[in-house]
Amino acid sequence: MPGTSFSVDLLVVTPNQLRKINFKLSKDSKTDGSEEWTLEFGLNERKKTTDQFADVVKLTVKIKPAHNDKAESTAKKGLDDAQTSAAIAAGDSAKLFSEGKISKTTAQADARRVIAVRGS
Amino acid sequence: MRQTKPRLNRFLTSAVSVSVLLFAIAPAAAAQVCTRKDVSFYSNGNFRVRRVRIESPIDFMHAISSHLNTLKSKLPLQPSTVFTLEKSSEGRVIIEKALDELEEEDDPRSRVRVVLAGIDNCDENAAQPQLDVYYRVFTSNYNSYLSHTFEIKTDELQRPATSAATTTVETQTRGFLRVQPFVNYNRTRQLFGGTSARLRMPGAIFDAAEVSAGGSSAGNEQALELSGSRSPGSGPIKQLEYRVRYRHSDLPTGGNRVREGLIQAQFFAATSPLGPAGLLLRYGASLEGGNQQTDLATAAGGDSSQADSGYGGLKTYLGATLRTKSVSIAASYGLQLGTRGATTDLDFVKHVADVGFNARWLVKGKPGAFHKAVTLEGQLTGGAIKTLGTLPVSQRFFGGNGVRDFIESDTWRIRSGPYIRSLPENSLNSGSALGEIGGTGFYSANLTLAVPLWGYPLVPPEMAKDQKFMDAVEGQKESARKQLVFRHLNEIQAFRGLIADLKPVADELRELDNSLATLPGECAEPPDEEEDNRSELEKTRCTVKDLVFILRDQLKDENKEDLPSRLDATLKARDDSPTCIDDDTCSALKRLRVGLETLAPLLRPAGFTQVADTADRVKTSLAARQPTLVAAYNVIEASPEKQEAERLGTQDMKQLEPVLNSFINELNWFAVSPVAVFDVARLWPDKNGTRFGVGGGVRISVVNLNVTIGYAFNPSRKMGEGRGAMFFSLDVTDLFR
Repeated sequence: MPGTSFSVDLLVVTPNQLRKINFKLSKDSKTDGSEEWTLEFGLNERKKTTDQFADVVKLTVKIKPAHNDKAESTAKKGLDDAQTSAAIAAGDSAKLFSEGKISKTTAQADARRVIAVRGS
Repeated sequence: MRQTKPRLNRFLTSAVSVSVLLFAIAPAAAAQVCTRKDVSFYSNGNFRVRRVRIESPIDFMHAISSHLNTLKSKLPLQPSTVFTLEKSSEGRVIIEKALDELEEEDDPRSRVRVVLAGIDNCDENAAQPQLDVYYRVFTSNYNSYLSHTFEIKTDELQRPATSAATTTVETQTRGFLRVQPFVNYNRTRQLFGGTSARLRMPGAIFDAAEVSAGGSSAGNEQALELSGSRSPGSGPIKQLEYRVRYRHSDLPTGGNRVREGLIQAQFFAATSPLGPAGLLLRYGASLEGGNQQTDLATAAGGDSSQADSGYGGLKTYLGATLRTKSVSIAASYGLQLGTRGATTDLDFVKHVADVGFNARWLVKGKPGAFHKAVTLEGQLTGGAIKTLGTLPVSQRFFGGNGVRDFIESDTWRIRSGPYIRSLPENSLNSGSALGEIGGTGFYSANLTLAVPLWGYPLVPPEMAKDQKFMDAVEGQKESARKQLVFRHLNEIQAFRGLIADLKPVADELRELDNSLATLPGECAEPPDEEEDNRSELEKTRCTVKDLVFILRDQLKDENKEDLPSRLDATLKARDDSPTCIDDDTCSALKRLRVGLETLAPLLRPAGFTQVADTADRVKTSLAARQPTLVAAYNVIEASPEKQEAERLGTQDMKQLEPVLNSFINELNWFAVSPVAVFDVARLWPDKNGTRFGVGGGVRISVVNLNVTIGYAFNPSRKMGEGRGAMFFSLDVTDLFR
């Protein structure tokens, strides 16, 4: 039963119920034998808990092949401490990017770092 | 009585579900093995798709089964098309997007989801090689109220069950209007049927309007209800439910009839789970008024009761519900202050207490095997009415194999009468000297034991045995737990001192920001991340500028409360690795220092000496401060407070984890269990005394919906009574222990 691709997707709403963070890691196998890991980082917000969430930003970054093992470990074992903190920081960056305060390049680098900082 | 309304339509949908299931698990074509580990072998253009499957163990909860089936025709891989890995991935993405859209309606608080695409049944040696394509979907939403209550909102079960049942009803279920017929039988009501219609009203004060009407040759019942619920958040009102309802009924009680018209305005609220055990408290009140008529005027008058009268009342109720791994317990108390009509004179006071438990012991089996859970359910209920004036007959206690609830709610049930399965509904007091007008005191105790013998697991065996899939679920659980732990980091007081120590850093960053702002031009976004043709100076300057902005934003007073969870990324990350710069795994501060170190020499030749000096000075200062800050952070990391955050996060996770564990380790698509029942009940006044019910039957469980059918014997049979009575019940196993 070979797997050809998969995604693991974690959605967390902040305690004040106003912010929704979506962290999705997916792996795709290619016809040329390579594998590609992708990280998607989504942020939704609302002003009141009775409102619907609105999309703030969605970042999609390709994981460097050098970090494929870390992506595999993350999918299998979950985020470690460093990755969790990096994920929260990446959420901040995504928000700042959506507000035009920082560049997309920086926000994407911060999202990519979520995988890269894995310890082992 | 209210619970009898949707019984048969639920039963029918369950039966259809079982039929669908049996069809689904019918032996497929002889399975063939995909021998190559390198899946690109199958993507060389030679293999054609034999069939496409979408498997999901949880579609019953989200009404997605029909939606997923609809999606099949939109996937790029279809039977007889050439298989490629890229098209397989595209299909996975289409499924994920569809799930996203469905999820918008659910508004989940947190959830984990795994979607796995794969191939099997590869016919590698045929002239035309073929294979099957599958997509496995695992997702779970979480709601802390539903996951801690004894009862589970039956509506959650009805919607998906309906959509799974027939395609004709599907469009109605997925829209704003749902129309459902129902049919049922018991000896008291005879064969009765009717229809209910539910209109969703998103965005309004009430979430739904429902009207139902049903009847038989023995009686009839109609109801109109507006209901809503809100989840205001934490504290004393985590969940709020409210409804306005009008009900009219005309039902037999043995030789008597009780006719009622009643309007009710009701609310109840539930707290957040309290304490390590997750105790949940519920409380509420309702105001009701109407009128009632019965046939036994003389009998009623003989017991200070009113055969025909108005009725008004205030009900208050409170309760607690608790779940452990194996046992769920709910205890409720209700107080009713009633009048015989539009008067302020108090005519009667009713007390009702109801305690129920549900114990479930799982017998461990092999991965993918059908799960055997022995269940023991018990309920002890009692009540008393103190008559101060006259008591409307409809407000007395009636007993049998169907009893009325004290309040109207799908998520909180308080029995308001003696329940005994060996006697038909409303016929417990046939021995009363007054006639069948109910009683003013009662108790009943009920036990039900079920032992499953045969079934099929909810998570298909091939899924449960797929280590990659199960690992992905476990990984997501750990990610969710870490997120919860890091929320609690923000509550650690020791971080306050460290955050205060960051004040000079914030000052230096402000100075640096001001200095960088003097540089001419704006930072332009590269057209393509891979083709950044900006000059080294431009790139470094923009990177530094962004880093300064991010750090300053984190250190703002209004963001400081949330800073602890970001400090690892800000101060520490993988700075201990000598290659952290090349790997891009350094902390934000270190990346800033390195950026400044690169920037200063680039600025000087360009004539920006002053900015370069500032960059150098801030870099040196940060280099001096960071080790101290990291040391302080490490101390907190090793402190008992951090351990406490871990504990709290793990505890929070216990609210989510049972959902996942239930799906994987407990739930069956269906199971068949022999059932044994024992009841004892007593109503006052009733010269027949204590009554018993002993019997057995069979329980068919479709996921967590249990249909139990059996016969309870009446061992102390009295004049005019039958040998016993059929019993039929529909209930829900609590998934989220």
